Order: sequence, then C-alpha cells, then structure tokens
Amino acid sequence: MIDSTHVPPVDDAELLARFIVNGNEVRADGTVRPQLFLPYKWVELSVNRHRDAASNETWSVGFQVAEQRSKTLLGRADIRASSCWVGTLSVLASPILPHNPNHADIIGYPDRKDEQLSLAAKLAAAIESPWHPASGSDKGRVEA
Amino acid sequence: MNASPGYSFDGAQGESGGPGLLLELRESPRGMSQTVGPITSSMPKKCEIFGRIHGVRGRVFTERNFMSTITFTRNLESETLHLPELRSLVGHRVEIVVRDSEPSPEFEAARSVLLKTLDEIGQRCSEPNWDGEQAEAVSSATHAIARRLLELLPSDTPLPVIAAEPDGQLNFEWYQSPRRLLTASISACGTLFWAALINSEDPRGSCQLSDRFPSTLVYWIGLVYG
Repeated sequence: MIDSTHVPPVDDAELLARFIVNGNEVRADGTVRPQLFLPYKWVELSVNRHRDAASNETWSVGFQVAEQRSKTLLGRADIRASSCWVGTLSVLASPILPHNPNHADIIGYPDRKDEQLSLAAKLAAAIESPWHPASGSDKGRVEA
Repeated sequence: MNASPGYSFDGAQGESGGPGLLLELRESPRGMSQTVGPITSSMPKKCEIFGRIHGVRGRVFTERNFMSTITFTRNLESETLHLPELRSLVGHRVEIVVRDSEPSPEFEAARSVLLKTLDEIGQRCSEPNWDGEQAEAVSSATHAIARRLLELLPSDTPLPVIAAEPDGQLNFEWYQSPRRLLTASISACGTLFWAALINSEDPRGSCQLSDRFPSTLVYWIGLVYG
C-alpha cells in the first residue's frame, strides 16, 4: 500500500479500482453499466488506487467496503486515472487513515442527472478490461 | 438473400400497401433506388425486395432496421403514389420510408414480460433503504410513469433493461456496446433525464413524458442499434 505518511497525488497512468456490490451495475458481457459510476447524495465517487498495493491488498479493501455496507463483493472494475479526467471530473487522493492510504475520490460531478449519466456512461465505457469477479462470487457476472 | 412477393404501389391512397404498411416521404439529398415491397416480421434484416412504383418495375437491395422500416430515395417526378399531399415535393429528391405498423405478437409478449419485471422492481424498491444504503423509495408515481413509458414504446423497438436507482428513479437502458447506448432515468414528476453515447457523440438532455413516446429517444435508440 502507499506510504501513509507520503501520499502522492494521483498520476494519470495510475489504475483505479471501483468495487462492485450491486448486481444491476454489471452486464453479462463483462462490461459495467453507467450506474457503477453514478454518484448518489455525494458529489464524489470512491475508488481505490492500485499504486503500491498487492492484488490481495486491493481485494481486501473491497471486501471491507462490502462488509461495511452489509453487501457481498461481486468484483471490481479498473479504470485508468487519465480516463477519469473527462468534463468536469478529476481524481483526488483521499486517504482514509490509518487503514487505507490508497483511497481516492472522483470529484466534480455536476448536479444535473442527465449530465451525471453522460459522464458515468463515459467512465463505464473506459474500464480497462472486463470487470474482475471477486473470488467466490464468479457467478456474479450475470445481469441482475 | 430472400425475396419478398412482388408488390405494386400504383393507385395507392394515403396509408397503403396492405395491412400494416405506412408510407412516408421526406426530402433527402441521398439517392439510391426506386422499388419497394411488403414488409413482414419474418423478413430477414437484409433482403431483396421486388415491386414497382408508378409503373416502374424493379428491385432493391435494402436493409430493414429494428422497427421493420425500409428507406430509399428517388426523384419525385410526378404525383407518385397519387397522393395530392406530395404536390409541393414534385421535382425534389425525396426519401421514402416504409414502416411496418402491424403489431408484432412476439414483441407484445416480450413487452408484457418486461412490464411484470417493472412491477416487481417497483414493489421491491417501494420502501426507503431498499439497497441497504439509504436509497430513496421508488414512488408509485415514478412506477406509473415508467409503466406508461414502456407501454408507449413503439412496436418493434428494442426493449430496455430496467433498474432502480438509489435516488428513487427508474432507469431504462438501451445497450449495444459500451460506446453505443442510451440511458434514461425517470423521475416522479415525469421528467426523463437521458444521455446517449454513440461513439464520440455524447448527447444528453431532459424531456417531459406526454401522451407519446419521446421522439428524441426514438431517434437515439435508432442510432444505438443502427
């Protein structure tokens, strides 16, 4: 994980994970729906930086996130930070110390729902590859 | 390629061409061919159609889109099709669109199934916190508007995927690929917030549901599956 005493700004080349806990945010073809990147109540969206993190550390954060929400972790979608710099959006390092220095936020969502949908659709289209099922939840790749 | 039975539009009056065929003409700069035949739900997407217009016999290779519609263009040299409404267009190049308006039993059956799914989603999300994350309830008003929207969906338009959203809105999605989709969220006051992604185009906006399915959405759905 990132050194919590020296959290660097998010670099364009960094890969960010968005954890999936709702079945209706993914499609059967391995893509994700815009709803995965749609903010609600807050104008920022949580993501987790892969930087300096082992795969099991990133998954561990995902399982914690799901547990906090009383949900099952279905998987994660990875997106390049540079793909998040679209329209009014940007990415800001937002460490949750001491446990998760890799936490970041996608910020700058507009208030209008159609604008949010448009940005969310672009982010969903920009994920790096098919979303990754969490171990033990590989049946999650079914549209719910 | 399959060929449909030959058909003539000679003597047509207004809506014409047999059950379910509607003829539309509009100006277009493009030119292609001049013959057309009856459209059936069993017709393959790409097909060869025989027929004649104003006595000119021929055939056209055409592509039927998702709404059982074929389009072609020709020079309108006379009151073709004997429609007096066309007089102002004589001498112009026009685009002719023939749309099958016959309801498809298969489509109506699929719509009924989706209406039931919508009812189930509305029921399941009718209380706040339905997602365990303080989601707002899907109100009966939102549910009723979404139902109306689905009922108004033109026959043979691809059916959307429906999902509830944490802000209590119901979302309809028409999806072909990550960069060919239309997503529309329905609010309790009847406003539809929509956004499309068609390759590099990213139109979005809002409209109010009235007694017709929004033509803007029909247009973008057409491009999603075009």
